[in-house]
Amino acid sequence: MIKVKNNKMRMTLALFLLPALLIYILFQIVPLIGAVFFSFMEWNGIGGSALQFVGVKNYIGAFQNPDFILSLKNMFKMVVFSVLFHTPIALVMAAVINTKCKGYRIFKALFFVPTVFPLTAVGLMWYFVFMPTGVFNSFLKVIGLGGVAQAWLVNPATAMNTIVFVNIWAGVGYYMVILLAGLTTISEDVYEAAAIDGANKLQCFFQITVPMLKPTIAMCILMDIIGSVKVFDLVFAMTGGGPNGLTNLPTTLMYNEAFKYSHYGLGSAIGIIIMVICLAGTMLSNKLTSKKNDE
Amino acid sequence: MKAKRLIALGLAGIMCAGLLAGCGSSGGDKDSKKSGKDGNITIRLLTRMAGTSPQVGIYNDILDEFKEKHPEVTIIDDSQSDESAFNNILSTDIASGNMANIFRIQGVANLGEYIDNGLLLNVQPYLDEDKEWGGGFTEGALSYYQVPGHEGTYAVPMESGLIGVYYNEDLFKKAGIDSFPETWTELLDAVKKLKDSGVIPIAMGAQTTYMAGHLHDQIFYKWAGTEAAKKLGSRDMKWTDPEVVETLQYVKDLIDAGAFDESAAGIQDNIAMSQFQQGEAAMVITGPWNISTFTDPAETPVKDSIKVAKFPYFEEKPEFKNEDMQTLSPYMISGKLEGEELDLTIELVKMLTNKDAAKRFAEECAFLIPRTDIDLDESKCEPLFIDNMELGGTSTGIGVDVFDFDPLTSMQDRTRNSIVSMFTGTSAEDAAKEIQSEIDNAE
Repeated sequence: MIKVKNNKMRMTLALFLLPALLIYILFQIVPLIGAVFFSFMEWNGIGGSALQFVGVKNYIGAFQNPDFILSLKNMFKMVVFSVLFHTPIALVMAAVINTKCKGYRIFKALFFVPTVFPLTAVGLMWYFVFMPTGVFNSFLKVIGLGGVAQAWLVNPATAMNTIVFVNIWAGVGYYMVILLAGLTTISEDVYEAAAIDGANKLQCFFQITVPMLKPTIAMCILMDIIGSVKVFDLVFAMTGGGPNGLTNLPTTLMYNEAFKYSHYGLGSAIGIIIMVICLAGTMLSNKLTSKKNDE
Repeated sequence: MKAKRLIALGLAGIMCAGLLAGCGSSGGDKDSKKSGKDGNITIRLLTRMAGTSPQVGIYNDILDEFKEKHPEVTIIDDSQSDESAFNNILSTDIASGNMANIFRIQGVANLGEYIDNGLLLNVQPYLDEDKEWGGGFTEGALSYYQVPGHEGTYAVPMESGLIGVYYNEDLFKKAGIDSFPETWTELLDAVKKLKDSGVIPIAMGAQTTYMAGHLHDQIFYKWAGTEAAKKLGSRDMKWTDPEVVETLQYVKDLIDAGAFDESAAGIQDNIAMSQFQQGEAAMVITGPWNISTFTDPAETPVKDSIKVAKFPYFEEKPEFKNEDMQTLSPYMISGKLEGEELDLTIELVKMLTNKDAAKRFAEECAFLIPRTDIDLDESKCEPLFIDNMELGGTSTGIGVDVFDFDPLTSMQDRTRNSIVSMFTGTSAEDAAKEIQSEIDNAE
């Protein structure tokens, strides 16, 4: 840590930090305090009308609301499957591209493209693929699997799974790039030494690449957990939380409650619960990572 | 070195000042709304009149006419054709209390709260003051915006018309049906014949949930009457009452009879409308806002075959034969306006809804403002529009959406979502329970 003894320098640093600090306070801390405040209130959403303190009623109401419980289950599904598939697939892709095989630059760009698009655009594109008259069903019919064709985003059995799939597809490229950057930090000497000792490619991957990438993998998992908890635009674009609320996530439910139904108290309470889940996930992941590092 | 530090300090200071100025601009907006940038008046509109439809063209012409007449007034039109985008802006306005001068709120059940908070202007004195303008509106349309417990009228009606069944006469004839079914039994029979002839009997895009909602609205009014919707809103009736469950069961019966495309639950309204416009579907339930589309040969190749009728009634309930679903949309005026700003806003609303505007809207784009004094040149109007007007004139009871009378804002989504769930296998009883539980939980 750099120690600044000069008062003038301190002043300069403080002034340079001030704009960022103000932005952070105004757009992060103030709304957060506002959300905590509103989560203990009942308000009809009409400017000037009275706020009524209701204690933890909104939090109890959220956990008694079957729609919220369903949205938590959906979120859990989203997190688990994203973590299970994002990083492993991205790791394999990164490892293959890192071999600098023929055309690796094209593949790298292609895999990264979905990350560049806004999730709303990705959601709309996949909506058109999975709609009843969409490309996917047409493809199934062409290959003689017309019986399997269905309304993927409407059928309660397939709607959430389809969204989870799209979320995995859209995110793999992002984690691949992070892992690829991590791979470049592993010295070639280690692989050469392993090759001299007779290790094959698979052994190198599991005995060298994976262990040496652990901090990067841990970071990817952490970002994946937080990112999956916060997914909003994808669901909003693909199903709007439907059919009949079956694909709602806490984020989309929060939006509906606060802005569509004017239940600002309940909406704020759901927002705070999402934040607590994110914090818990971050802390748990940090703890697990630091434990491994200590070992 | 010292100069560099000074420059750096100055720049940081400017950035902070800029940030604070930017954050402070919302507060300044309130003042600028009244007085404008140059001390002039600003009128903000938040309506659904946006897009490329012919009625939006006329609406914009009137705004331009107003601007020419009052060059000192700045018009900000925040209107949105997309319902979701519109609702987002409206919610923010309501929460901040900073309403547009002219706006609209769907439904009537919540108007009392908005009136109590001073968001809505009572337009009755202005209707009384200008008899030529105010005396021309239909009684039914004005009374819809007279809120129980509050004296006065709280909106100026700007759109009305029957939401009925538009059908393709040629497809009916090919299926061996000579005339449009008048009763429910005849409708089921027609559905079977149309299905056998290889067309989709009723176009439905239930993913855009309002289409399924409108189907149920039609059945509800024909089975239980328009007054029953008010009873649901006042909690004198429950969604789980047998009479209401039956209305849901009739939706289910239509689904089971194969009245809709197998993929209906997964397609959006534009695709369903396209099926009808291209002659792939024989019927569609919609309002007069689509007449200009149905009469445009480029958009509707089968335009000459399209006719309009009322939704069939139930033989057991002849008393509700003419209880119809109609669309009714308002211009509401902010209750916080005063002085010249209020006068100019009223003037603009008058220009948008007077009999000249009504004549132009009706003749040029089949858009009906509910006035009794429109001097229509029928030769300039689309026959479909005239038919719609005549049918609408026979209504003995008018209802908009069933949830319009419900004080719970979530009922629009709750009712429509539960109705749509019947397209994916939910029973009428379960759908009714799901809707009623929304009310029970809120209470």
